[in-house]
Amino acid sequence: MRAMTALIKREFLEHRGAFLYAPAVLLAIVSTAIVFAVATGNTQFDSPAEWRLSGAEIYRVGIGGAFLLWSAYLMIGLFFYYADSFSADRRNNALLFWKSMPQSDLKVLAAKALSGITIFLGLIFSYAMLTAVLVYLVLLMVSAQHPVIAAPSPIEAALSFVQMGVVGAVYLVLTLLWHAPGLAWVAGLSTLFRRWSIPLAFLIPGTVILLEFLNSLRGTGGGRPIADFLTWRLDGFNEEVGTTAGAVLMGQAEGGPFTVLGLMLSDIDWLHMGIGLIFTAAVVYLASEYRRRRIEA
Amino acid sequence: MTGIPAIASARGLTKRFGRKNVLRGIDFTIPAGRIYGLVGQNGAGKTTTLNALLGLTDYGGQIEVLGHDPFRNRAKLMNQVAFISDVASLPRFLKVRELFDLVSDIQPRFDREKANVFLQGTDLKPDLKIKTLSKGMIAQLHLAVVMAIDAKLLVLDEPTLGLDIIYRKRFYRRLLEDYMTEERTLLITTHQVDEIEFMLTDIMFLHDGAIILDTPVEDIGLLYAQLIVGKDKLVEAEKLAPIYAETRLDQTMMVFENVPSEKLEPLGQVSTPSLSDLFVTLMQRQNATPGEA
Repeated sequence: MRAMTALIKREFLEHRGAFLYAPAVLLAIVSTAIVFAVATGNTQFDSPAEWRLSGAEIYRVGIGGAFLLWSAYLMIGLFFYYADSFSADRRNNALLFWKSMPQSDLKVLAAKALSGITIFLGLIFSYAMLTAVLVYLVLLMVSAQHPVIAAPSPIEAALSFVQMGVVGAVYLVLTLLWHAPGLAWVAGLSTLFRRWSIPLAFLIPGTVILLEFLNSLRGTGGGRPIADFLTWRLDGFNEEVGTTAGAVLMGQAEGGPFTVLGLMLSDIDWLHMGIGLIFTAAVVYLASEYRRRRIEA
Repeated sequence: MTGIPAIASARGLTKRFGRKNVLRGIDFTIPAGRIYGLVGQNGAGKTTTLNALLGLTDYGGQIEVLGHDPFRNRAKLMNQVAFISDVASLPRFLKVRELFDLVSDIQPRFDREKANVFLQGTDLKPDLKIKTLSKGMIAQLHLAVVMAIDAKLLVLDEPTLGLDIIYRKRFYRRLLEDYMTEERTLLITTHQVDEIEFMLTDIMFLHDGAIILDTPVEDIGLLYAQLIVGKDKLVEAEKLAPIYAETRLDQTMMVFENVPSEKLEPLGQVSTPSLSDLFVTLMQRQNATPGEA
């Protein structure tokens, strides 16, 4: 366990730029821009006739939006991370150093695979929660200028913060687990083709889909199962869940944050989630066997 | 050396890269507590032999290192083995302190205090990033890491390649003074045989994937003799079938194999050939008669 923790920490040290510093800079820029806009903006505010969101609802929607944006950042960041990390040790002959340590190739690659759902997910979750705090501060500023928009009370805000934090954490974990096979795909390609894994990750399925499309034009009646499957796999949560979750958070439908949590959990196809994770584990194992036989840069 | 347990042994070790036989079924045994030099020309199979011993590559034949099949159990083996294959291979994104933290957690036999002691008196500071260090400093750091590991076998593959002479001398001196004990075995390859000659207890010459010499250094004098002979005794000396001869000014240097020194002494000055001279001798003989290995 100590060695695994150290190997995950090593991933953090190597990639802290993408998951610690870059999000901090991004958040600082966006926060500054929003605070500047609020502080210098028009103090007159004409609320639309249908405007009827409470402060707590606005806050929950704000936190939900923050988690959506940070989850997109996480997935993009992890895509580039896995497009590189499985072959990164081959740079500068560093593979020779890692192989001089009493840790198996499988363990090293498992640490890389687990880094995504532990340290990097944890960092992005922390930034999402920090964003939630900033959203509250902005709400306080806005409500001071425009009494029509009431900021939630500190107790309401704390409750929303905790509840939405739980929902957001589960959302990040489920999103990552659902898309794990896609990340494993690019990681596996990177093991073989290094940085060419990025174009190949799209080129290979794109070519297969194109051939499938050309075949379907012949009218064989086979349809396009591969394209349909990949589209479904990439979509993640059902669109209807998103719409209902939005309505719940805005008070337009029954329930609260945990209703959204229930919606997400019931929408997951657990069988496919399991198959995807088995595929991911298989890719990590095969990549480790390949790495076991590699020594040159 | 009978009775001394073997640290590593190979039987019928083969390795092919495509159609090329890099190792042609070699056998050797490395006893504990020795300093073994593995010497050969480029492409002779030195690094491939070491890689096979360290479990870094698959192979044909049998290898046992500290009771393990290296390719199957590399991770377990590395609990008792340390190696440097390339001094520039330390992960560059780490600071010196972070490297020590990491190695402490993943190598149970690493003694951080010892590593710090090895760095005393050098320019290496804990907060320096490895990517900012010179090649010599990285070599010092890598050696400090390796020497702080309580390993039974230390393998060094061209450890001083690209380093200047000052660093090379310091590297070997520290290795010998601060690391070697009777319980430890050192296996080393280098092109610069003369630099490590003083520390070796055993020598193995590889040529074209085969072993052409595997002997304790102390036995070289029993097997080979070097004779400096003047012009007047040259014909007489040539009758004893030297395996190598080289004329320098008015004198000729000859190397003999299995010729008693009593026969040579009347002809000139007899001595034991240096490892580098013996290496040149045996390589020239092999190149002159390929296929004998």
